[in-house]
Amino acid sequence: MTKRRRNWLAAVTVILFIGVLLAGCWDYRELEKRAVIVGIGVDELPPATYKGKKMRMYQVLVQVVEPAGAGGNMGAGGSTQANGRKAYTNIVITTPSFAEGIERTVSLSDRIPNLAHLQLIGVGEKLAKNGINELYDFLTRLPQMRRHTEIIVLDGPVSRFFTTPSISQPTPALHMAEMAANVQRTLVMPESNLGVVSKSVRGHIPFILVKASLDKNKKINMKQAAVFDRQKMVGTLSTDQMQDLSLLQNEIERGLLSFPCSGGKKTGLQLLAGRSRIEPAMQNGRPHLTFKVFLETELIEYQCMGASFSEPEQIRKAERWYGAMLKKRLTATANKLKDEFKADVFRLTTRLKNHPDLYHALKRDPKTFMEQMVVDVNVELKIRTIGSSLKTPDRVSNP
Amino acid sequence: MQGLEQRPAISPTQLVMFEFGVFVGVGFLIMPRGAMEKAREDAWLTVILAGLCAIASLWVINRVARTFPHETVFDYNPKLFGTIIGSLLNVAWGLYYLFFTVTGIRVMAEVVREEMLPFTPVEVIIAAMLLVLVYPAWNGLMPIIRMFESGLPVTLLLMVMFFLLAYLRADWTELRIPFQDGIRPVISALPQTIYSFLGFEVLFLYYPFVTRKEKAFVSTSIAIAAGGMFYAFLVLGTLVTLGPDVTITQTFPVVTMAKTIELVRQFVERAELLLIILWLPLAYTTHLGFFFSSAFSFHRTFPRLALRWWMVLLLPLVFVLSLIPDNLIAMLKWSDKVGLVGLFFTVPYPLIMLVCIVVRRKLGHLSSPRKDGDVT
Repeated sequence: MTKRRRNWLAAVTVILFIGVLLAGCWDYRELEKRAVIVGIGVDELPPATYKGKKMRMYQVLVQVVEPAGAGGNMGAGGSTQANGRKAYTNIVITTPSFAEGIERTVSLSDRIPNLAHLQLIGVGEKLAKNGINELYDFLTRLPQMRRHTEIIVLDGPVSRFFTTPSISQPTPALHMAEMAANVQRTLVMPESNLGVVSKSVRGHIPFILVKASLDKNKKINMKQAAVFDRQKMVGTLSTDQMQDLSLLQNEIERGLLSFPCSGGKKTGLQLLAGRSRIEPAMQNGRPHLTFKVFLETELIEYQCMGASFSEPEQIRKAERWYGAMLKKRLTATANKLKDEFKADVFRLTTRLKNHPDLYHALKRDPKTFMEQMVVDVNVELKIRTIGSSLKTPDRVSNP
Repeated sequence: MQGLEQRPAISPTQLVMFEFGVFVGVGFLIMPRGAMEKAREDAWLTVILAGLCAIASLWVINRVARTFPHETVFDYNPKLFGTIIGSLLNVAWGLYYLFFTVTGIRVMAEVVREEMLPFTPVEVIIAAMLLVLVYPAWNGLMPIIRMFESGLPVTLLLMVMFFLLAYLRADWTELRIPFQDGIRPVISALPQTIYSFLGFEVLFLYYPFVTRKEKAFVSTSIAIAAGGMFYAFLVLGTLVTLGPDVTITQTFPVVTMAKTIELVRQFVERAELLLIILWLPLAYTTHLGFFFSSAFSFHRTFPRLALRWWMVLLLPLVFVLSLIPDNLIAMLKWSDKVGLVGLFFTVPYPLIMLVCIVVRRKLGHLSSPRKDGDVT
């Protein structure tokens, strides 16, 4: 064989190989053949005998996006497109195993489940109280699971949350995921996604999840948070407590601080920036923690009429006044939370790493540590801007 | 079929790239777990310490190699240890690099399958990688080095930029003032961390081809220092993004760290896929370096068979061996054993050689060191 012929043969072989290797993915599946799961709702049912053994039983709701119905679905009602096709399908399975439940979507929807785009995990309150350890293992074992997936507690029947229509999102799961993200971004609520849960579970630290409930108009609201200790829900926080805890935990993002001025009227300060530091010390064998909170705010509402902010001293006076109020509030919340939960809801376990005596005492016996802990709060509040108006209208003009 | 088409000539810069490309590859995806299991928050110090140990070992290797400036380890093994032991050691070198390739390729295939191609058989991923390994290795060392030289800087830069995105969400309270639990945890984590530096000992193989031998130590040290900084950067990243408690429970902590990256909500959802794309070239250079070194070792030990034939023979062997372990955990046990052999070749072996050199000189079997800088 001549050299030229040999080269020609080699080239053809290479081209054939390339053709075979680059023709497409080995495991290529059309989008229509995949069940893209965007939300999972899980709650606990009474135990049942399954294959001869008494087991925890779960109700697993899987929300799958319908590719044909999802596009362009932004109209009222939220769940159907103009052509009448629903943007999602809910598949409800009763099972003792999450993996088995998800896998059963194959037999119920003739498609292969794909969890890579999961946006929301809704945990029923009963399951939350009995412990999410089995669910946690399933979720964190999956390689395709994202750590930013929102995980929330649902106060009420899971199926109702996953059928509540949205005007902005094609599926209820996406609607709740977006709401949960916004609550954490704007309402000064600590971050609560799967990554945070994972970190807390592994570090044996309590964690907080957004709690969703349905109001009288069957609309979803997220005004509370659920406190978890040792993977079980142990209590609930109000909006104010959530906010205070975020300030103490140094998870300070944009949000509104509301204070009374006089006669039941309100002052609204928008948070611009801030930080919270702790100064720990062991005094007489008891842990003393001073939270040093520094906040920069913007005055956005002042309902008490006849006030002027034209002089620096007037602003300084307001700063002192509201700083003292916030200090009182944060101290009360901190003491209430430590007495109520007797657990490290302040995430001190990571923040005390450079204070070995306190860190080891907390790791050894968190309950005793919390019982003995003395809390002090220092607040430095700054009003950086008062908006476009130097003076509020006179009292007489107030109707 | 001939061996090396022409005698390779490795410049100092090429040596830096080659060394870096060979030892930075697969291990760093797992390394933070091993380091943090014992050293916890001080794991990044363990990495730096491991880098210093590697440089110390390199110094000894360089001293030995300088004694035989125009010979590879396969030539002077029989001179120092006798024909039988020397030949056995030569075979051991070949087997070491062979199994390094096997473990690296299987781990790479497992990562790709788990994170990127869940339904693709491991066999297909391994076969595809092996085919592209042979192509640049076919014409000897220089094409491999040129490939490293042209691709590595950009890959490394992109990778560092990628991981900086994870640092945006860092929780710096996870850091701790060093040595709070003493120095023992830092040292006890050293063996598993040193595994990630294994590969720099290829200097034993390619020292005769280094053009400026007086710079070989500095060049390789630069590669080790750069690799060490990269590793420390990753360990620190996993520490401040995942924390030690999560890191020690993850199969691939660095991949999990990539999963914390979210650029724009619901836009870049699975950043770990970007990591895999950026990481594969690094894994490829490591496989390439070790695979070629294995073939090179066998060729130098049994020169009757040409280098290319050794590659052709080793290719199916790597494929079959890499499929023997049942799962990743079993393969990691293999890796540990290969790491132990690597530790032998980087710590006691060069020291024994140095002692042998001194003894043989005293006995007059070796010439005394010259003062022209080429030999000790």
